[in-house]
Amino acid sequence: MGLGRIGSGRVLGGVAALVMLAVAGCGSSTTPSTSSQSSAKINFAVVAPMTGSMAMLGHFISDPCFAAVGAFNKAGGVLGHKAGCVLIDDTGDPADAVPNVTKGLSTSSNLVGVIGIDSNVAATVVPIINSAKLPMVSSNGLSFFLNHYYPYFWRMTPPDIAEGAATAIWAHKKGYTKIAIVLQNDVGDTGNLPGILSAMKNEGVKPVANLQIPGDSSSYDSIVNSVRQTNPQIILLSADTQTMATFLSNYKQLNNGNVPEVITTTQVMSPDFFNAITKDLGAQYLASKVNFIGAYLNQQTPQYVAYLDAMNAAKVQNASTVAATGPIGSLYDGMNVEALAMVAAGSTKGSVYDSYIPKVTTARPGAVVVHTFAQGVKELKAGHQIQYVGVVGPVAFDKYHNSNGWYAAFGVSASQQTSQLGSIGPTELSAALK
Amino acid sequence: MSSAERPTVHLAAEHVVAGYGEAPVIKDVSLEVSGGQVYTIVGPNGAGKSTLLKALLGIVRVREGRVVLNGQEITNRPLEHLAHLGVGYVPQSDDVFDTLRVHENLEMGGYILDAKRRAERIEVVLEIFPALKSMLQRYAGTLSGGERKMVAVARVLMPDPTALFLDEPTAGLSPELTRRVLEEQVRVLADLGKAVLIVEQKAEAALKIADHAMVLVTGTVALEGSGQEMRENPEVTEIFLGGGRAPAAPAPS
Amino acid sequence: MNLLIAAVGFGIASGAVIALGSLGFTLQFGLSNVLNIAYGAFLTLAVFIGLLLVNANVNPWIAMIVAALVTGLLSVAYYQALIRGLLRRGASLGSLVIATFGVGIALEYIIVSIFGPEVQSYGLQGGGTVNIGDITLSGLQVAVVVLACAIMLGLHLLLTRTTLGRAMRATSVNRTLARSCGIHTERVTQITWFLSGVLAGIAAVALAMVTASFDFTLGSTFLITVIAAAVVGGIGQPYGAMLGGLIIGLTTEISAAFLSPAYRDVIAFALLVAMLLLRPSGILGIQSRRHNVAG
Ligand SMILES: Nc1ncnc2c1ncn2[C@@H]1O[C@H](COP(=O)(O)OP(=O)(O)OP(=O)(O)O)[C@@H](O)[C@H]1O
Ligand SMILES: [Mg+2]
Repeated sequence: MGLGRIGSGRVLGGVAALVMLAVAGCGSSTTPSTSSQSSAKINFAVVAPMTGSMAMLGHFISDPCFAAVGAFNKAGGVLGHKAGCVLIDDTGDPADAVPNVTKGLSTSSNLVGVIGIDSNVAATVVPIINSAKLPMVSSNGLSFFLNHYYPYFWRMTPPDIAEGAATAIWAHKKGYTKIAIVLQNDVGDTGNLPGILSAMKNEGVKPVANLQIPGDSSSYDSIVNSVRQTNPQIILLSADTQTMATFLSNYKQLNNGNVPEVITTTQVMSPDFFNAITKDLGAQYLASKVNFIGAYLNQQTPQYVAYLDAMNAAKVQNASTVAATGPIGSLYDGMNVEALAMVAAGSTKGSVYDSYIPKVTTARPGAVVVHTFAQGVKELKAGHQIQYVGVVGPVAFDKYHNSNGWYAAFGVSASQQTSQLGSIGPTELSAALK
Repeated sequence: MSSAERPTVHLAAEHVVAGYGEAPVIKDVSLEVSGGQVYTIVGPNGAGKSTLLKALLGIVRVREGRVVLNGQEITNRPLEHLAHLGVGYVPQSDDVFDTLRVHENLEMGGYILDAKRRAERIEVVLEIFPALKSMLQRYAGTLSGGERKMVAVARVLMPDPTALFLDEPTAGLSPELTRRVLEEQVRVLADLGKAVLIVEQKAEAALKIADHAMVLVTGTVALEGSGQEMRENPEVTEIFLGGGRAPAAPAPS
Repeated sequence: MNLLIAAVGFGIASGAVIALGSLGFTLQFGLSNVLNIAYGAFLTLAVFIGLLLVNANVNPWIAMIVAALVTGLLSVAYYQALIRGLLRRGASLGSLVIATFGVGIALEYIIVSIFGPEVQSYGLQGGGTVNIGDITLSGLQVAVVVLACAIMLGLHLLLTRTTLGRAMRATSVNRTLARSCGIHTERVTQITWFLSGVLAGIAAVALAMVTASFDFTLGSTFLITVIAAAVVGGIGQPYGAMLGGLIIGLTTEISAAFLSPAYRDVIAFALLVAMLLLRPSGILGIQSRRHNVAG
């Protein structure tokens, strides 16, 4: 999932967004637990843009950390240590990210693990975290890590190309053949393109249009005009909220009110997006013509209930909506995986417990399946091997520490209730990505 | 030479000290000019002639002394008020509105008049400068130096001012045109009852029309007297021909 | 259907809005020699004032007028409270840019704290489209183009036919001479800042109407285009702003249709940089003069 997409391209607005974030209510994450000097306390770092135009993203990525440490502490801590979260601002800008993260890592005390990171800075920041020997779990989808090995970097969700393939497969499942592709021209959104094209090729379908558009333009008239010439039945559209809303409104205006169906990603699945689309295109359009593809989170499982409880306990705003998005769920799982690996290794030292990460996630005979940190600790104490299966389901890391998983298609009702419409499994995905 | 009958305008500067930075440029200068008279200021480059005019007009701050117009003190008065008191000013440079058409320049000259009077006055000044009639639609910035000066003087005459401050109105004009502007325009204006304070580089031509004159050197009055006296004073000639040395005043640094 | 002609139509539609925004910016520079970066925040402010009214079921065109007038008044207040003092103290162009940048950020901060960071919309979509040959525009875009043309014509008449307009141009080109003519240049400047605020308000609300979706970054994003148009046309030149707006509108839309659409907004910067290199004073700029409001 291209986490690097939210609000990118707003250069001037960035400074103001910084200020905005300070004021605009950031739920739990405005109160980062400062690392106390007590030697018993351990800290997890959230590396994400905390300021600038993508600050909202940092705010979301922090939520699962606060939720997870709450659950750890409730279960007696990690190896007896109380856990907290430290926020490290990568600013979303590669140039600032390197000094900021370097400084953040060296000045925060008792750091034991890391979560986070958006696509814009991942390629420069991951090596830094890696050389600090801090295990990091990420929901980042950058293709770069498909074949670059970092021993301390673990990817909990499938890469962007898989997400791209999933959107194309979903369009195919809906029976459409005239498919237009419109992606915002940033690394997160365009990362989906190879997957889309590969899946479409697999289905023997050619896109009727394949365009990349700038974010947050004041008008997309000419672009819309060339797309509508091709009469698409469906548009695979991936962009930030404002860009999508403007693009679709322009489409509506120029096409006498007719806008084709859209498949996008869960990245934008938020009340903000729902409201923007409802206002410009109507609740009916939102409810009947927009599907979202994202990592599959089975909301009926006990681990999901525990996860939601932890999110609520951490006072996350709109917890049920935030929790339902794949990247957030996978980061919550990642926190549990790191903590359980520490317990299994008997050490909070990254260089020691890093190799235990596959040992607490891989399915194997004799391993007891656990769904929460507390359960895992109990089984480990009883001398059992464990396999953690969290809210995103089982994960299996390949030699580059990538994992695959399930995708789901979501819809939203006119009253903005989200529901799951179907799912796309690893077998379909790997066939599409051949 | 003067038109004695009408109530006449009177301008006086008393011990004016003025300048831009720490050290004053104008050091204790006094002068007096009445309606019907031409007062000429000559002096070497950098002597402070333009600064003196600007000080009297309130453009450059007067630190000591005062400026009195018709018995009313106008020291450091905002420049825009002076137009209403009958004061007109032609600066040495930037003397027209470059990006305005010639007729618009004239209209801005008559800004304080009502529309009807403005139209009448345009007719009057065009009679004085008939050459302008053919260039009313041109932008002032595209005119030649001489044409510009014509527009500048025509503009200043628009509201029929009673006191005129002219800073080198003949700069760039041919000797012949200089003579005509000075003798046929400036002198005539004074004869119509206006008080004219004029700065000139061309000392001889300017002293010829002067009722009174001063030589300004490094901000102080080096010589002063009637036009006649000044024309005949060999020191005046020496100041100009002798590279700006004034025997009666400290040499400019 | 001819894509080029269609793109020209869209170019005119977006150029009209850019020209309006650019006019306000260029007037401020022409009269006060200030590159007012806070102009972006004023654009945003106008859009949100408009949003308040539209959400209260006020007719959007009335909302536009009210937002424009309020922005005009705030613009004068801003000039009186900050710019005038800085100019009197002889602040350099650079320090003015920094000061106005700071005000812009503070203003944006206030706007966000009041209205929130969410994506907003006036919800005016759905009016019919107008087809003129190969040009297809929404009814709203046509209305905005007509309005912009009317405003530009009005401004042209103001600047060339009225004493106030000529006084504005005179003040712009030669403030001292203007004062010596009895023009109250300070008052003329205030009126200009009012007018520029009104223009900002109209441009911003029109932009929000046709863009449909916006958030608090609308102004600062649009400001870049506005500055590009002003510079391309010749900063300080009202007709330059009009021409620059049209050029930027046309080139961005045509390039979006024929080059990669991804570079749509880069074109504005490219033009800006090219103009600064080739002819720093802009198309209509007078090479020898630093700035002025030409006629
Ligand atoms: N704006 C200014 N700031 C600082 N100093 C100035 C300014 N204008 C003039 N000066 C200085 O004041 C002195 C007098 O200048 P002024 O222009 O009054 O001379 P002038 O007698 O009119 O010369 P010219 O015959 O060359 O026109 C000069 O030394 C000049 O450098
Ligand atoms: Mg001089």
